[in-house]
Amino acid sequence: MTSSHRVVVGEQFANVLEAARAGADWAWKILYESLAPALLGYLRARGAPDPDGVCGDVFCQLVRDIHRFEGDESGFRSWVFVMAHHRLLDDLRRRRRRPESAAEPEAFADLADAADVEGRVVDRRRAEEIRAIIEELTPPQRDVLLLRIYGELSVEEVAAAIGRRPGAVKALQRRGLEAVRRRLGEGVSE
Amino acid sequence: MEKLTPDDADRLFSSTVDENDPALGALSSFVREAREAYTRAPDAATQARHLRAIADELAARPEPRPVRRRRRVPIGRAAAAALAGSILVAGSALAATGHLPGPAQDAVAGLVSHVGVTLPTPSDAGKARAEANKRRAELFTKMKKDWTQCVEQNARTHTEAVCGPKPKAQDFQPSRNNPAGHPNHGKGPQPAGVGPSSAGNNGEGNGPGKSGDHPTPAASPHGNPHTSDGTSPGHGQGSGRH
Repeated sequence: MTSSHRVVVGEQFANVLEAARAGADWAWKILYESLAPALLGYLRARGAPDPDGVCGDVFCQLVRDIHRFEGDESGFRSWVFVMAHHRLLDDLRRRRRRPESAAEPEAFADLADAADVEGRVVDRRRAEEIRAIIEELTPPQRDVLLLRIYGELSVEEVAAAIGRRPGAVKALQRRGLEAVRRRLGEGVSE
Repeated sequence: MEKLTPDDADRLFSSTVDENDPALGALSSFVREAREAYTRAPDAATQARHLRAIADELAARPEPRPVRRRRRVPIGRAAAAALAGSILVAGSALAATGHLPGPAQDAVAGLVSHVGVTLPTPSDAGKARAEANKRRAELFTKMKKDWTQCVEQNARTHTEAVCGPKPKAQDFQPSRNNPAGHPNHGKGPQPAGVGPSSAGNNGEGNGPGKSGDHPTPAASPHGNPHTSDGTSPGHGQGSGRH
């Protein structure tokens, strides 16, 4: 079953990829529309201070590096998310070195309008609860769960992205999910 | 609380778990809500800005140039080819001159005989070497003989010059070895110590021959090649015989 949030190019992916390599605007628009929502979701959930900026940087890097990619749509999606993950880490590192004025993360600022966009009914309180649960995870657990939730990367792809063995990723995944389940159980009992 | 398996995780992330599942339902709801809370398309302004940035990046991208690939020959392969070429050339030279080891020479000679090339076999090479040795031995014997004769003639000449033997008629007749009555017979330079000034050269026992066997140009009435000091010019051929 394909999750409803995911936009898939499908059988035309090879043609779209070839056109994008050749510099066709229409092909880039298709790639952008298929990937940007999930990419922004990952960046927001990860707490990126400027998810739109990182997303734009990722697509600009894609333009430069797309000639190096070989594979299918799933592989392309994984490749883009790995790129986004590294871009986000670079951005966070840079901001730690040069701290800017504290600002409300864009993820939460956007959530105020979330209920009006595309008919979603997620209130701000529930979104904050989800975010709070994610924040309680260790950073490696957070990386694994969010790459699996938003990027839909396989265990092996996540392992390659974060530089760990698949076995370690499975362990992080299990511990992270159990931590979430415990937290959800506490929430229910409250 | 049941322990989560990797399969459970895969089902959760692929949204294939029923949210009423008593074990995984809560987690499945969490995954769905997390996606819905944060996954949404950028607003129109952001999207337009991103697409413009992509277009700018495309415009700034250098034109793809046709890739000219140099055909690379691996170093190992080139070295192997050079080695094989060297072995072929050296082997051919050795085979052509019959200097390969016996079995190898036989094999190569047999092989190339099919294409009309004749190479010496080990037996041919042995014969050739024996022939060459024989020729050298014969030449040496002949030259040694000539040299001995030359020494004999010169010794006799000087002995007679020193001792002043009585001339005899038969001494002026050409002999087999000296048809022109020439003392040195053109065989080479005169050996040292056989000139008229040599001490002790009194004509007795200085060589196998006896005076009178050959003519003595020093006393020849026809004039002779002896110089005034009793040496012989040797006709300039002697050195070329060795």
